[in-house]
Amino acid sequence: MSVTDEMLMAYADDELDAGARAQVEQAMRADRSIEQRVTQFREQRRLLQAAYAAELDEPVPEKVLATLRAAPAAAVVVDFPRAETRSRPRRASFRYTALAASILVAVGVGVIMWQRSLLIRHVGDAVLARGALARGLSEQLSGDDAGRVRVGLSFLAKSGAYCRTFEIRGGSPSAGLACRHGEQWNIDVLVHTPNEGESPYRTAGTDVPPDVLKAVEAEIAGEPLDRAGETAARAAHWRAAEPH
Amino acid sequence: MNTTGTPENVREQIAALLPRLRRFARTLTRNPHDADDVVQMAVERALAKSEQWRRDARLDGWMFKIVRNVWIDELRSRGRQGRIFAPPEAGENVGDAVMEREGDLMSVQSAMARIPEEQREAVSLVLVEGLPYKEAAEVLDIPIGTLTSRLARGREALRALLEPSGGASA
Repeated sequence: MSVTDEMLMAYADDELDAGARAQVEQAMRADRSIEQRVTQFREQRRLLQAAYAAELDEPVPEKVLATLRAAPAAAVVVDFPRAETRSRPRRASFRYTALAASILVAVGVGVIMWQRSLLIRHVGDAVLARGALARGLSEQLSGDDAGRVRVGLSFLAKSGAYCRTFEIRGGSPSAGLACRHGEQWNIDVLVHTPNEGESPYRTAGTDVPPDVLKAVEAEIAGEPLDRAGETAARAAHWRAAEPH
Repeated sequence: MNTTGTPENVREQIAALLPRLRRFARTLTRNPHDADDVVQMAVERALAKSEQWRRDARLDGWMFKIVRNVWIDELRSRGRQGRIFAPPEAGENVGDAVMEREGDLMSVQSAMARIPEEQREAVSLVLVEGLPYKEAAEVLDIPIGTLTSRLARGREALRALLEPSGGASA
């Protein structure tokens, strides 16, 4: 029984039903060149994805963003005073009722990243810190002021990973939460924060936007790290501890 | 009234799709400026008829389709000039930013710019954007068998262009 080249392609693309799949697999076992052909299809997909991955990091032009913002008042990004208007919990006492952070993760990340092409990149579904953001997360202690990127608080998450809140200042400021995975900082939450003067919160440097705090609240195991804890974690390259 | 499909909600989701929409528009138009114009028009169109989006359908497929329709309309209004193959350089310009870092990947994008449009859009939707065959066929308004054969021909054409020896294409 013969299989067509299109079937091999569909097999490589995971588009066959169980019966046809079995047929292809049988043919692959019988004929090594068929197996190689499937590999070729898979490699071609990887090649194309790699070639086009970087385009996702490019900033979207303002005219397109403006079109999206136009018409009925609606937030394209999460402006934190809108999301949370009650009084600010301070850094040491942010324990208030946790709200699901999942919405934020879905909405925040992805919405703002085009503004941040130098600081953030996509890898598959993940969003990773890079450039000055990655350096700041790895090297700065909380409150250190190193220009564009500033780290708020650091803590051990329930997963055992170290996480840190951060703030990005500049043209389109944002804030978020990053957690260490292997050698990378994974951006779990990213929210747009209003420009200075538009928000009552911006003047207090160490404040973390409520939307980010909600995510912290959901993730944190224990208390935020103090300076000694941060220094030790940094010395250990933020390697994950045992899960709690 | 419409609790799940609020304009705000759709807007946010479209915002998250913008980088992919641009990327797809660039493979269609092979020109970054055209691509941005097309995406901008597509966003306008999508917002104007966002109530037509079926919540059970993938928003990315729906948006890709609008992008493509905008481009088709644009080509028509240009008297179909755009269908004439752009010189290869136009394809290479599209990814300039990419090339600086990944010189060896340049040939992928210029090869894409050289294959016939109907194959290119099939390859782009399935291999670059990751749509299942069924979704890609819906975006292109073609039966799934047609999609499959365009995809196969497109892949073969790309393979021939990207082959290390590359002799035949020179």
